[in-house]
Amino acid sequence: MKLRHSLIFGLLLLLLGFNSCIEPFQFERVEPAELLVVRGQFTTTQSEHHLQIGTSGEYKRVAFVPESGALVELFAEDGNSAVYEEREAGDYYLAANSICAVIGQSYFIKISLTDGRVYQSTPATLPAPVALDQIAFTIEDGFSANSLGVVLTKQFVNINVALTPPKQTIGPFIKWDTENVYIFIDLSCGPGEPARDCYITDFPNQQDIFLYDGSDNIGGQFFQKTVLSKRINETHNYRQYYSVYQKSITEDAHRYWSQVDQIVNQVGSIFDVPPAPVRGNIFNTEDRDEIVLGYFEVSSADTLRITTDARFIPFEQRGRPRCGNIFQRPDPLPSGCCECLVLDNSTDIPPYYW
Amino acid sequence: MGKNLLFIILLVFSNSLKSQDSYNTPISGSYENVTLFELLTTLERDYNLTFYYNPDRIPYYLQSFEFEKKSLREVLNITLEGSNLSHSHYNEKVIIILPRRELTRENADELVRAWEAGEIELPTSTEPREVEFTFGESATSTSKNYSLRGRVYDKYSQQPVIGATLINESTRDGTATDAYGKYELSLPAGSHQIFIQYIGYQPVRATINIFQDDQLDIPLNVQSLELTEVVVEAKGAGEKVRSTQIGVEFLSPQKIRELPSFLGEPDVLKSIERLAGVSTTGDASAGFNVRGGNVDQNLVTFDGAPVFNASHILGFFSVFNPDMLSEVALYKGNMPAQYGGRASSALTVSTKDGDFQRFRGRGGLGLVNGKLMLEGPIFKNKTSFMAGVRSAYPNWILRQLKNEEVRRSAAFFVDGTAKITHKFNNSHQVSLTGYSSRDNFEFAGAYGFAWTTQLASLNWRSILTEQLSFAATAVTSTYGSELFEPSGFSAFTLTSGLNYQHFKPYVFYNPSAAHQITLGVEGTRYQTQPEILSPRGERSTVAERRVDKDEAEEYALYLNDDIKIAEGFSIALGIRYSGMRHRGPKTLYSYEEGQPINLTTQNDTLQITDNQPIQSYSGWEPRISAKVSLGEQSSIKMGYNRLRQYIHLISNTAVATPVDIWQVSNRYVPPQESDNYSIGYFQNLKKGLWVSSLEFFYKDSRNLVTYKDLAQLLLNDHIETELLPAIGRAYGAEFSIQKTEGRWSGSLSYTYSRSFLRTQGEFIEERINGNEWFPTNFDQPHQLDITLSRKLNPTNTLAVSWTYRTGRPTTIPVSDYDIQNVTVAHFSQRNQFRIPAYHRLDVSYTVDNTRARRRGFRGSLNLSFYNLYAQRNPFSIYFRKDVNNIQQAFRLSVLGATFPALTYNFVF
Repeated sequence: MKLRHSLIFGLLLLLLGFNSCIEPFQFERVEPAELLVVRGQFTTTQSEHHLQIGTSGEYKRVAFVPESGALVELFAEDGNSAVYEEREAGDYYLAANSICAVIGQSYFIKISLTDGRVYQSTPATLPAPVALDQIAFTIEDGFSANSLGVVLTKQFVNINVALTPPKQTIGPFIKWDTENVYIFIDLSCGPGEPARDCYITDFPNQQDIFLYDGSDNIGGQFFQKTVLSKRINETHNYRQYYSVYQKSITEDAHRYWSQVDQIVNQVGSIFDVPPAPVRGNIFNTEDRDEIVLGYFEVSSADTLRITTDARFIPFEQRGRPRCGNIFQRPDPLPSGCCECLVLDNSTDIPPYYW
Repeated sequence: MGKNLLFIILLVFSNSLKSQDSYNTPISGSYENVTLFELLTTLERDYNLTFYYNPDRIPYYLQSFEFEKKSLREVLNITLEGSNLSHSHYNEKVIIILPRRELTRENADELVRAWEAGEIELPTSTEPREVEFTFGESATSTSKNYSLRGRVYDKYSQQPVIGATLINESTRDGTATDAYGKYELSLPAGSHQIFIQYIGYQPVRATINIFQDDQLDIPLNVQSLELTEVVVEAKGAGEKVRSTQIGVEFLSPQKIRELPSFLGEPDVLKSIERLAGVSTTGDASAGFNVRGGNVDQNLVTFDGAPVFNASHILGFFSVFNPDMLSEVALYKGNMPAQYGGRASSALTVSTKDGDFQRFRGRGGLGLVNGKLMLEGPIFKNKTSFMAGVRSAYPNWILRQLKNEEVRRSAAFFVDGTAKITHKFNNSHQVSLTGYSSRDNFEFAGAYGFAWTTQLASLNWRSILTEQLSFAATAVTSTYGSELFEPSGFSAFTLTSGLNYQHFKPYVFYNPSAAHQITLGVEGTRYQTQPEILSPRGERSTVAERRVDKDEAEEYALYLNDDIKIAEGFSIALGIRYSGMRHRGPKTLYSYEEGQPINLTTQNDTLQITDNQPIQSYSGWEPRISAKVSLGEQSSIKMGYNRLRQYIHLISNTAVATPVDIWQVSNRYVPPQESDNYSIGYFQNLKKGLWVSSLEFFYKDSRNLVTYKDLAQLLLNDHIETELLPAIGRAYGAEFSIQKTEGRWSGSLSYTYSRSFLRTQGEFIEERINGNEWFPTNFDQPHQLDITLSRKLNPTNTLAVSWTYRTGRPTTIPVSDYDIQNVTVAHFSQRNQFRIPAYHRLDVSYTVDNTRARRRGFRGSLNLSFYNLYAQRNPFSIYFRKDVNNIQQAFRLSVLGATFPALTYNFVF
């Protein structure tokens, strides 16, 4: 009888163990939507303003067919305007000093395509920047899925920012962008070939969108938020920089990014909002119903950085360096060990702050 | 063993020598729809035979036999075929019937001893009790019709028997008792055979010699529980053809218990979902959809009290304890005028009264859930109680699983129901039902939610005169929900809820056999609780925030009359006038005329003080159903209902969640209104052994609530800026056939149902799919449910059910693009694609000794497999980057495996 109970119990656990809830799914192929995509920013940073125009393609391809020959103009509320320069197909640039970014002034772009279609962004007023007070990191547990999709508990470096948002009736609206740069030193694989230092840019939370809208009425109070979370791995054997760009954005831009956040972070749960097209702020002047993808963002920014090195990171979590050590090298050597410039987002020119 | 073998040999030998004559007794006759007990009793009487058997161990399903000069041996061989019983002579007079494996000397001796000592309690006969009454004298009579009124009641408890049928056997015309057990028959002068029956009671065949108006109260004897089970569908069978109302379904607790269930726990809502015209959007879906209606369009009442969330643990269990129920009725699209406030259906769930005579209990223990119910007299025959508690505790299983997220998840619910009933006398009764529950669900320590319900319902029933009865229900209830993130800087708790008080008095007037009139009023006061966001834990930097909600009163006045126009033709006419008043306190926002309602067009803010009226709505709701009988076993019915709904579930998720918000109608959210048309053909075959129906429905709706794309609803004090009014239409056909009796029983129901919405906005943000019709989230055209139950022997039952549903609509990406390092999918128009179809096979095997007549502790064991072939039915399809940073479609299956369950149930 005891054995029978054990068998039943074992059967139960066995069957429950088969319960794999999430799996990739192949949908029927659908006709791709070829829609105009406009993406660009006009910010207070002292650098060129960049804007891209293209056409979208099939899902999962992230296709972007550049739209060449467009006339792109930036208009300011004070009557000034400037024309973007197309340097590569679909890539348009505006010099930093072409039009001054003035807080409280509104700006919009106008795009005239070669086929006669004309697009425009809704005018957006440049918001005042909100200063970042502090940046700090903590090491905390979190979940991470391995290549088989199995979720495990791992340790993460969390980058936390602190600020005191101003007290105002609506807003401020803030978006945090982050960037992680770490150094990678390759090996001297050939005779006389020196080892090279590469600086690799990483976006650990590429699909995470960190926003603030002031709706919690904590204006005037100290406020903390985790804006980046990177799983501890072998890159933490080297020095790392974490940059946080705190951008004050418009209310409409906040609406756009909130909706993008809902789209990109679907988990299929009962709490997911049904997906829908996200409309940006670009419209066809002749046909308002046409969906134009992307956004032209007008923002002011503040930046803070923090650095970590191996001293701060638990050894057992870091793992073995990618190219091993002088006592033991992996065979064959992983790509990049002899020439780190082949790695994605790699450069041998250190960032200006390094 | 040797001893038993010897006994069997001796029995066989002795049979051949001594009892050849008895065994060779020629039997002739036709026995239709009889149980084995009835057959044996008849044979004993007609052929002077004696059978000894254990009444608790013989089958009670109905069988039909035709014997033409068959020997008794052949007759017994035929009738016991397929069962585990065998027969043999014990001595010259006695034939014993025992389970084959128990045919031993000791058992035979013991059986004979028990019979001869009078210890065997025989079941009540299913043969009708014959009675005769004479009213007046024939000499004084005329040719006019006379009225016979009275009530049908339980002889044991004196409780009225509701829904008992009284059929004139010569004309096949009849009536049914009302909510007070009352009836009225109109009979021509003369003698009539009236057949009175109700499930679980011995039928009565009354010979009525009537020559004047008079009254007759008819007591019914309770049958043995086995017999109750046999005729469990009889009410449904008869009612479907006879009642004037179209689109009504009844479910008995026993039927609910027989169906295979998730984790072995029988469930009202899961059983409802198997009915034609009822669907659900997936495994983790709270609520159900009726005839293309949203989940909030179903009025769910529990002892008269509206229930706003009838689900536990994401819809896997309902809040109703099946051990405590007396009846479940579902009105699909067409409902009598006494029900209203919802635009699709009414589901009424009633508890039984506690036992007035003795203490009893019922309970169950499963691997992840348990329950216990006790009932008994407080003052014998005057006051009774019933109290039950249920709980689910799946956490220990979750902790065994490999998946880290699931291991760190937790789910739990507990609920308690209690009822006290007091009878002042046979005419006046009061009962108080209380219900309380708490649910908790936490996912991977990342987020969680909890919800609670407290409800009290006071019900008064009085029979004032033979024609007039009065009833009233008073309810107070609180529903609260909580969404939380347990830790971190952003840890929070968000609470919301709804309080309401409800009062519904009505009278039932039965002036003649041709009219059954219900007249009543009802009122409900709603106070939606504010949404309150508060920090959780010491590290949280979330600030407190509060969004105030609405207060309103809803009221209705209604009149309903079931009118018998002529033989075989009846109509149910109803009219309901309903309304609501939205009132302060409220911060009311105004928006520019001729502009879309959004934050940029807000132009004014008004502070409305306490009780100051803001907006009122009211309107008429006509109801009509008609039935034309096409003989005894078939009818055609049709119906039209207008339904208005003043409270709405605000939920922009694929399925309803426990933390969705209930919103009363206000300036920006007018009442939903639907016009429901239906027509159906109802046919019983083989005297109700088979029950079939074919119904068609069409629904036209206005002011339905839909949502702007990616609407944000939580903590939104401008929630009207996210809502869109829509018109709706739904249509379809439902076919259902059931076999209600016999060793094999079961049902097949097929539904074709479509459901669409259409916005009529002027501005881009107010137009969904360009103002074209689009399918609702629950538009599932094809649905097929098959249930089969096989009684292997009196205690063992195998039940199998299979469900198929078209996949529900979804929206999928048709392109994607990068912006600021984020890859964004661009989605199609709303609901233009479908997720794969849903199908599932469930099996259960029950060894049930709880229905044995002996008193004391009795148990049953249920082994069930939910989703036997481990179909990974998609709950949702979603799109995001995978662990390798590649855009991917994923399928989430909530129950992607077989779920076995072993449950022990007991009664005492």
